[in-house]
Amino acid sequence: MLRQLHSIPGLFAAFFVFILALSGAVMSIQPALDKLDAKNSNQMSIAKMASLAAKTHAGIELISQSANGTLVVQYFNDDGAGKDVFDPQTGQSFKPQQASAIFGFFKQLHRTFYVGTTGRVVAGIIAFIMLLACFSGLFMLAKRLGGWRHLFSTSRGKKIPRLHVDVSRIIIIGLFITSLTGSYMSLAKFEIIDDGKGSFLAFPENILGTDPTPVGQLPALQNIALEDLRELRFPFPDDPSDVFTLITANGQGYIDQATGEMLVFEPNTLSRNVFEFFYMLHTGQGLWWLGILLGLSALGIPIMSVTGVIIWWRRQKTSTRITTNVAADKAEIVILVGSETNVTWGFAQHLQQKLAKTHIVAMNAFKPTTYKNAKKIIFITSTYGDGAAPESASRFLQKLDKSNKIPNFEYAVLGFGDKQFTQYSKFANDVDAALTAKGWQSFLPLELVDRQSSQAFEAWGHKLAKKLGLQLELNHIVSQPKIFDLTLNNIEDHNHDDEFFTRIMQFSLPTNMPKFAAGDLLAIIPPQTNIARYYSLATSSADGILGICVSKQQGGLCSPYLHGLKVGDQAQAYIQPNENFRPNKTQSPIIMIGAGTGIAPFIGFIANNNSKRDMHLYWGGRHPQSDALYQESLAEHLASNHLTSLNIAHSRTENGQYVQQKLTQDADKIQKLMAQNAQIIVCGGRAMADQVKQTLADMGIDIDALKLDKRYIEDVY
Amino acid sequence: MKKLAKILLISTAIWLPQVAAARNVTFDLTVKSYTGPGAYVVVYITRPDNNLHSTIWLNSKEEKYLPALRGWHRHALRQGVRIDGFSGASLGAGKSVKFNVNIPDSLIDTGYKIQVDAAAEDQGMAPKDVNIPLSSKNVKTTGKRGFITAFSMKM
Repeated sequence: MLRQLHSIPGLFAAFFVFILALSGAVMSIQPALDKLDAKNSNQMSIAKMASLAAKTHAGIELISQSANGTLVVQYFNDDGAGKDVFDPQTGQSFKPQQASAIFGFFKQLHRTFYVGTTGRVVAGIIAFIMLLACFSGLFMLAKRLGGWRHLFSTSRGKKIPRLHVDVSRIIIIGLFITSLTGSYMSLAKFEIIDDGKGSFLAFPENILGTDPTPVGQLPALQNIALEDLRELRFPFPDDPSDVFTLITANGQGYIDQATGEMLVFEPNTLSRNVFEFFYMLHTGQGLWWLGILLGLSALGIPIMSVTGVIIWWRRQKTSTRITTNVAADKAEIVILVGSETNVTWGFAQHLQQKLAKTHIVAMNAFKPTTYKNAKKIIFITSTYGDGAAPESASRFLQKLDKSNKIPNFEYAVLGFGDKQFTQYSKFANDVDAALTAKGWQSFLPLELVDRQSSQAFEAWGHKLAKKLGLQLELNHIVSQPKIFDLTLNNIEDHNHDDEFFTRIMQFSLPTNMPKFAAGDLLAIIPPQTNIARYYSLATSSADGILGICVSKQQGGLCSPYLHGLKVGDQAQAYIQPNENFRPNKTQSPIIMIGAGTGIAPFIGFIANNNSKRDMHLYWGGRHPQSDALYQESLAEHLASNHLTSLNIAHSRTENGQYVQQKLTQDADKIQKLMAQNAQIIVCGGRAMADQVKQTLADMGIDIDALKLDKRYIEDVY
Repeated sequence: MKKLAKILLISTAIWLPQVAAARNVTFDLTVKSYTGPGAYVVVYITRPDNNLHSTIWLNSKEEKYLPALRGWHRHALRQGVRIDGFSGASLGAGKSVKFNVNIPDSLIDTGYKIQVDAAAEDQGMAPKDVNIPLSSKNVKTTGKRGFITAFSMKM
């Protein structure tokens, strides 16, 4: 909602805002230029100044003072009409006053876009939209940075959104002032708000009508300070019944030209004062330095417009997937998804798009009480590893356990799995059994889909359609990445006790391989199976090689195969991007925590640390003699400051310890780093990762908050 | 402080009464070239005693800008004037306008004058830029202050 409120009006306004901002920036210089012509008046009275001016200018008609203190005299005599800027100390003109054609051009562009009243209306609407964007943007900024307290903390994320955020923080105050006052002035122009200009002082009745007194001797002008003067209009010379008209900062009045008495004076109304204040804030007239600051802020607007449009466009391209997600309490069908690698999400979303009034959500977000209009609940889940819950369903069974009410709706479970595993689709079976045990009613028996089979999915869709009483053609095909034949060209084996084998492997890089970064995954497809196994890459494309680190799992499928390869052998593989597992693009410190082969991506991160930001590695191994992985590289990186500190824990030595114990010992240091906005990156086995999380939480580190900020990222297996 | 509108609408001043003996007079005027929004112009007739007789052409009804037409506005404040019959059309910089008015014979060659005030934002005010006798001769002139660059009256 907040985002729509920000981006939809923003897009509409972008073009016009551009023009308003640039023309505004040009005009912002004007008050400062005008100020240059203002001469010191040394607290003189209006009478004194006017008498000096009248002495040096015959046929004087008008003296006016700009908000910046520049005095202009207008006269008409035998030599014609003239308008000069003059010095109040001497009354002497020092240059003719000429309206600038450049400022005139931009002023008109700024107000009307040169399309008259329509343009004025558009400019007013744009000002209001900018005001809205300031507010909604401020809230989004606070949300993005994790609360109002963090409004000025370092921004993170991709380049373009970061630019948008950083620029906005500099210009938002200026933008707020400009757009608020601009909206007001537009409303005043169209007389929706009273600006106090429409009322005039009635002409006085009691004019003496005798010979005029010289202006310097008029009693009414003796005691009014020059700085309060806005305008003094002289009576027409041939008209004894005319008067002086005086406009000051406080109001306006008429002065009898014979007696010099103030015949009538009306102070400004409140609306007049409000208008003048807003006018000053908007134009900088009378506050030249504010004008310059606002002008500079306005120069940031084109950047905001362009980056804003790019951000919106990118989101349009990527967010087409869940465009029709119906709210949980309105949906008649709820699809709950358990997925590890997003493949199952793909199937589930395909189904959701073919059904009406359907809500789709991760199984971890399971909340049966909110499904008020639901008639059917469909669980679509894969199984992780050897029968475990996939990531997006890891807390589902606990949540189900806590819900005691038997719902009105019926359920169905569709499981995705691989028949080659002994525990084929075990988690789907578990979910089905748990639901039955809770007393839930099934409307379609459990079905399993083997190895992402489109045919099986389609067949299940037909059964589902029958039960729902509608037509349904499911034809989702998992897109297969291009597979490469990689040649193994280097091996480094680590084993000491013939019980534990770890192997660092380097494959040559095929020329047409897509770009990858350290931390991305190399998906290796062992022979006689279609299911890839993922290994974290220790290198990036720039290194010209594919490096991974593999420990041999007893009874495993892929790792024994890799351990059996010799230099020169080939393996089939593709790159699986892992964009969420990368060091953030700031210069804040990085704390890397891992165990065993989890060191691999860290090696790549460290090698790429060309800016030499603080990087601290905490790593747990078994024994210095059995798995001293990447020792030489790490020593080199320490020496070259690519790595700041290296902290190794060995578990199979005397007084052995785990990596989390190292963290506890270094608690102070870690706290200090966190205060510098450090990012924590964890890689390794799930048990180790859970222990690390617990240890950090015990130190008072709020991991959930960090995760939101992408300051806690993990790749766990 | 009173709203000008009130003064203007309760006014009893006569605005060019429809009389049998009248002449159709054609006016043509051009304002100077400058950069900025359009000019405000008023054309009016003054009596031999220099008071306002009638307003024959005015291109703004926006009260807040009327004081810029200084010569005329002074009369308007003092005597009142009807402005509801005039156009709000803007007269852009450098543009011309042509209009016809029926003027009673009794005003012609009897000491009445035609006056024109003009003003525009940032361009200053030009009261009585044109100030000529209302005579039966055709007239072609320019404003003394240079705001009205061409003015003609034909009957």
